[in-house]
Amino acid sequence: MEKAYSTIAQMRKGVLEMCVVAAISSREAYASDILERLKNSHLIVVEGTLYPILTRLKNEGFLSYRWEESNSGPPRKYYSITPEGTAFLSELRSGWDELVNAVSALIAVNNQTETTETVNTSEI
Amino acid sequence: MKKNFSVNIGGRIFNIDDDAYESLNNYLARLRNFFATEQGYQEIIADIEMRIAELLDLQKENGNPIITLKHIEDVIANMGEPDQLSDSETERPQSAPGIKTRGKLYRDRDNRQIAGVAAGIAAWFGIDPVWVRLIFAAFTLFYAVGIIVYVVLWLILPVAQTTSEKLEMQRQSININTLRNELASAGTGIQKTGSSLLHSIGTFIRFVTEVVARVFTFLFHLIGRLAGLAMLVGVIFMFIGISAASLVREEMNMGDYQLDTTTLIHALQWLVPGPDVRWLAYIAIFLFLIAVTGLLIYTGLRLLLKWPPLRWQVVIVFVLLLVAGILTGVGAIFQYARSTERVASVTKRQSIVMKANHLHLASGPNEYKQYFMPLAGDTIPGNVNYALGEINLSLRPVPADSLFVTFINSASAWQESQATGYAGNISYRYNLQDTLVTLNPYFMIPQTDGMRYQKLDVIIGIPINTIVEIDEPLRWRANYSDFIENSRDGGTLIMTTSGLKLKNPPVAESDTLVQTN
Repeated sequence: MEKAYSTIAQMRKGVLEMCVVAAISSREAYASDILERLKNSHLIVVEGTLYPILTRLKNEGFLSYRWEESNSGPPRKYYSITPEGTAFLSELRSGWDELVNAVSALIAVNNQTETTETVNTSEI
Repeated sequence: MKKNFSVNIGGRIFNIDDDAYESLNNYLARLRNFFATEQGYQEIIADIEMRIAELLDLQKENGNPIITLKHIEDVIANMGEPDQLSDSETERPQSAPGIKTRGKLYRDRDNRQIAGVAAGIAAWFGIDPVWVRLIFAAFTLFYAVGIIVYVVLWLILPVAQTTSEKLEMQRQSININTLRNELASAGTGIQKTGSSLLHSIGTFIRFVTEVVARVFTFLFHLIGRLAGLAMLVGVIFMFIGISAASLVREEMNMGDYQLDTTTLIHALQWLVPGPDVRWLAYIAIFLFLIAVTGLLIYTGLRLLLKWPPLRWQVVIVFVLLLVAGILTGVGAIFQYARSTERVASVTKRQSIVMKANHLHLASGPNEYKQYFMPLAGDTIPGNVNYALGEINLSLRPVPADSLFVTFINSASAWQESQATGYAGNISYRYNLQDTLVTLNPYFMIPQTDGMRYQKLDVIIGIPINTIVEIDEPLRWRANYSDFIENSRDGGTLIMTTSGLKLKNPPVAESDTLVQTN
């Protein structure tokens, strides 16, 4: 369903920023590493999406980077998380957990209500 | 053979084909435009360039020493076009391609007639400038409000000069696609600023003459458009009128005859009697209407919306329709003339012995509607629509004591027997009672008979010296020559050997007359 695809894309879009921060939080990473992880989890489709997010996060002070010479290619930008970034991420995480719990509960409740309603109707 | 050269991408040297380079360069330009509003966009572009270098490096490692167009296309597919990237934009949701933004009013000099005010407003609304110009023109009719508003807007609205302003004028958000379209359509047109226009007198005069010329061409176009609009509106009203008249019943005045409530179709049946002639007339009218309305509608659209000229085949079809319509019409007229060439008449006489020497000629029913209603005892079949014709009344002196009344009904047709039949169908209401003669100023014909030049002559022979009073409507139906010395204007009359005279002529003369008598 076309509509469902676009809605799911919107959901992914919403969590993309958090995922980028999370991907960098465990260890230093350069763009290709991050891209690989995000692509594996189908969070992004085209690579161009990543760069503006990285720049924005860096400008906001959540990420920093250093240049590292590469023996096989051009120098690479290695991103790492800043203390502000760690705080930001933990806030995002709690927000995410809350959202997931609330949404799961809501979906579950809805399922139950539907069932009860069906039962009621059949009784009548 | 292909031209190739080396480029530096992300600090690395690559050998690249000419077309591949072109494609990559365009792609980076599109990205730059797309990210132009982003803070620190050079860094984003640099990062992306770096990533592209990395991807191209892989090709080199795979044994492709020269970067081709195919490689660049793969890279672009991998990185994504700006509109794909905009999908994942969270901070600028309004910048999706083609979405209308609030925009700003500008003057659109590219599409101007005078100063581009109307074109700018039209661009903002996304409509054809014609409508805005028509509105301005319409409001000009009210104390020149249109002109005043126009001049005020001319003074306050800026000209859309840059591409982004032109897009803003159209309420298009600025992104790489819209910019690309705009640039493609702009061609080589580079706008100069108008601020230096008034600096020398020479340019000022040029400016003024240009404005005057533009005003005139604009008015010329406007008049054309208004004429076009008028044509279209005219055609619409004509159709409304025809269909309304075809359906609505009303009383109609057809030449010498009055039709009782009837529709246009019945009126046509009345006017053009005889099925063969009528069908010819129908076809003629139909062909003529198609050709004329078709041409009117097209000319209207061409004037109003600048439609392209007609193809010659279509013109020929219209001309043929017109010619066929005219020929059929001529045939119908010819046939119609033939169908009325024989005249026949039916005469009826009646005489009454006069008991007194005065006579009152009274007009029949006073209410117009009653003219259509048969008198008690008349042999007129019901449920038929009638037409009324005016009678011809003659009042003549007779050297006798009796009143002679003669009715001559006449009608025309193709054959004499038919004509006689139509003449016989004329029904007339009158009443003779001693000295009171009641005459209907109108005679009646069934509408189904059609217009056959039906006539009714009523000739009344009045004994000489009878004093006659005639009601107003009848006086005007009577022959002028039957009256002497303006006696038709009113008053009590007396019948003489030479016609009707005033019984009491004007005072001065009457004194002498009385004395001599």
